[in-house]
Amino acid sequence: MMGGCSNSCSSSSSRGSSSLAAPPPWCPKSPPGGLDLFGKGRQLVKVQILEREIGLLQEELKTVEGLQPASRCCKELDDFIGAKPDPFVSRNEKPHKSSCRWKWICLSWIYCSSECQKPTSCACCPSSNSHRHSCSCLENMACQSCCKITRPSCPRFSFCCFNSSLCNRTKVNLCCSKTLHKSCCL
Amino acid sequence: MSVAELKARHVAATETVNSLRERLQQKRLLLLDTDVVAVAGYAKAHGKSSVSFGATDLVCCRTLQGHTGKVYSLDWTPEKNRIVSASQDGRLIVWNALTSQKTHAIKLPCAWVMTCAFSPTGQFVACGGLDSVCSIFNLNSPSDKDGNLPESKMLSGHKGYVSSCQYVPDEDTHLITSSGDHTCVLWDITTGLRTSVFGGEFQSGHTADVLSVSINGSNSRMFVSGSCDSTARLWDTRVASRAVRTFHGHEGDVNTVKFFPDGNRFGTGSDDGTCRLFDIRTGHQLQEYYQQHSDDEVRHVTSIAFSISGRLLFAGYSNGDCYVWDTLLAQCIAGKIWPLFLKGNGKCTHMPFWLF
Repeated sequence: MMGGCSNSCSSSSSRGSSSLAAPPPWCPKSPPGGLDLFGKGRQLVKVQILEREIGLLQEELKTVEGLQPASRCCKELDDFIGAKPDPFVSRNEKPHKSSCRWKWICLSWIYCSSECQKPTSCACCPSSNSHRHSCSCLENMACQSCCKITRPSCPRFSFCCFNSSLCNRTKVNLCCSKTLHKSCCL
Repeated sequence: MSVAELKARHVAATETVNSLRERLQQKRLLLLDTDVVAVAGYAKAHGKSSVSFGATDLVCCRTLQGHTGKVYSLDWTPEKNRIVSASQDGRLIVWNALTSQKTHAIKLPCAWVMTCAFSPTGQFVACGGLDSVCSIFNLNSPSDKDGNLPESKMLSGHKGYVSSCQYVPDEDTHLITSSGDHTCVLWDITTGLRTSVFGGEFQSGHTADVLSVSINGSNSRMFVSGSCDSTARLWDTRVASRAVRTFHGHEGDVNTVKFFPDGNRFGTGSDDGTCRLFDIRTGHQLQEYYQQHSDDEVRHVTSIAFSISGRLLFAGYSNGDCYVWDTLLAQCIAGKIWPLFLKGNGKCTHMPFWLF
């Protein structure tokens, strides 16, 4: 007996003979053997995904033979990095800049070797804490690195210099002083 | 086919996949002709000098204070003059990067935000998180009667959290999201519909949560994704059915991916404590960046960024450390340099790459 008889079938049967019994109510078919169809379907999908992955890996194995060696990738990387100006790297490419032991010492009898730039000395600057936290600290170019206050906090030091010919950096320093526009470089 | 036969087929297919991957790895090793450590070996052999930083060479020049919860994400405008940050205090804040002033403080419908992004024109910001929705805000829109900026679009469709989002370069109308539902999606923001779904249950893609995306700045049809399945994958937006290439090597969740400035390589950061550099055309792993610590604690890499030349790789770790790696020589040249990022309740886990 067919499961699920359509309405058209039942109506034509009833028109044919009034003695025919009403068809039993439609019942959905039970899955054979109690099988979890949902689980089987998911398992099949997993297998299909794996088999697709196998195909992709086999393709990749064929193409890997023709790939360039890593050394060429490294050369490309090196060439690119070397050709691109980088504000962080250009600032630190001279090893003596940060290796000068005497950079922060300001004592007249200490000689800064020729390898060092002239040190910026906090010891030469007013040591009062209140001074270092005030905008007036930024007035002295030589002491600016000792100040504990940032330029953005001091409006008169927060002008931008876009055309300073004294800047030897490729990037514009946006926090330089209008009154002290001798240099826009930190 | 019976379930038992399917299971047997599954086991056989798994063995075949593992065997093929092993063969592929062996063939790739033969192509690593420089040194086991690839880039560093090449750079040393060619006399590259190291970059060094002194104690005062990397200093904090701005502290953007305002969030009252963990800062999970931030993004810059292409002009690099504004920042949007997302915090689990339930707000997006838009900052003027030069003056540190806040221009917008957007109250979010869902506080559990994980990612944010600026549109290429800077007019829109996008965010997403545990609500599984990517919300778009027009910064030029008027506020509503409560003073809140209304959402201009909601991109609904992910079945899991939105972990990362990025606008397609030069297109305010398209962005890509990654999600805990194992997929990435390319959205048409105008219609609010998904243009393409990368991965998912019936396609070849990530097999676990996708945590990060990065779009190639040189070719915006290509993007990479990083996932809890320990892989990174390269995608072509024209082909959603399968990844162009899968990059193995990490031994833990790949939390962050970022394209290298030249567009031919990308970096990754992982729960296994390493950052790695991969080549997209060949699939080579070019370098690994890892620092052993005396306490043997594995510090998960949560975020990375490259300097403009790619010479420096900035990496943030789960314990709050931030290290600067010389990409060529694989040397850590600065570490724990920004303790200020950890002050108060804000804990920045994403790195800006302008630091002056």
